[in-house]
Amino acid sequence: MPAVFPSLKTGAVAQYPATKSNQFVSFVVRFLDGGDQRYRQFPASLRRWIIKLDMLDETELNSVEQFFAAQEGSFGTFSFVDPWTQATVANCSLDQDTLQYGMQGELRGTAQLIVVENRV
Amino acid sequence: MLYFPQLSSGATGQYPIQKRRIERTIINQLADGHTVKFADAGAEQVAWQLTFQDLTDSEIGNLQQFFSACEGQLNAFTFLDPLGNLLAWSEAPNQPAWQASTLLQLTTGIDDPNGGTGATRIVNPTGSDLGLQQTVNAPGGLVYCFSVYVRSQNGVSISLFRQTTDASDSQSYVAAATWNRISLSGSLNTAANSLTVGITAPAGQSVDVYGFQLEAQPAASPYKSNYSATGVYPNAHFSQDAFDTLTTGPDRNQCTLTVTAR
Repeated sequence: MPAVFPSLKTGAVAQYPATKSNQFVSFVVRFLDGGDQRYRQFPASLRRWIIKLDMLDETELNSVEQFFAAQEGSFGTFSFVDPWTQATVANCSLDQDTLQYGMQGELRGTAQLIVVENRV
Repeated sequence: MLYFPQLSSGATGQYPIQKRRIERTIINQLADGHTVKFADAGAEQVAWQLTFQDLTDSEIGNLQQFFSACEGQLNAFTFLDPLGNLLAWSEAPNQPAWQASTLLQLTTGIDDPNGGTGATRIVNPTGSDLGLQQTVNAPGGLVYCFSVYVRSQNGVSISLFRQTTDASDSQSYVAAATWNRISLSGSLNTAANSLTVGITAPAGQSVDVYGFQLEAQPAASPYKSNYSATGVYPNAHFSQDAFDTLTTGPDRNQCTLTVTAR
């Protein structure tokens, strides 16, 4: 079963427009005088990527579905190559339990995968 | 046995087709970002939204009759994924899903036409032709296309076959030294509830094969690899109780159906 994030026939992992975010979590205690005290809850930020895919053929779309099924949605973990930096992020998961994709026509498949970095 | 009907073209669906695969994961997220996860395999579900346009009165009548037989969401039927490969282990003929003579030698890990190593070398050392086949629990009378990539250094003649308990069809091809995709298409005049497809390896010859694919349509689409799951869903249901049709002209009808399966 595929445990490697699927790449397209071009070799690319993502297409434009692609979204990437860095997630911090801070706990803020606010005082009556307006002051506040802040605590870091996450020891470091966690990255998240939204991979929107368009104009896929059935083989590429099938690879996406097989990967999603092998991961059992957000349950599994895999290595992901950051499309911006080409750095391999070792412990990632999908951030979705539903994969919705469609074929609008021949060679016109669309899908979206959301990848999050797990805390190690 | 209820099964989703094909259109007069032999297709199960029309573009656009929407498919949704649903999993369920129970996630306990800790304050520092760690997560503890539990996969709920029993909640797995697949759904298709099938949009039909320009159907003839006969085609829309067939769909309506089928919907009535199912009584909407009530009764289960067999659904063949219009976007999927109906065969299991499409790149692993050594898996139990495939039936082959014990005398047939299968070597996996051979270079394939897509640049990987998913092909299999079939060697038949005996003096008679031997078959490699898989049976799917799908209605035998529908239109199917069975396809596979083949290659052989000796230009051997191999055949693809399709058979049920009371009907069969086969076709011979000469395998070239480079990869070529061959296919066997059509329907059998049968009411059987299962279909067997396969390839016959000629006596004393060797042939490389890759990417077995069976689809409920008249022609082969781009290859889709499969593992243990197949594109045959024997326990599908409609997720609607009403069948709405729109007639836009003489012999021109349209409708949308949503099918779910586990």
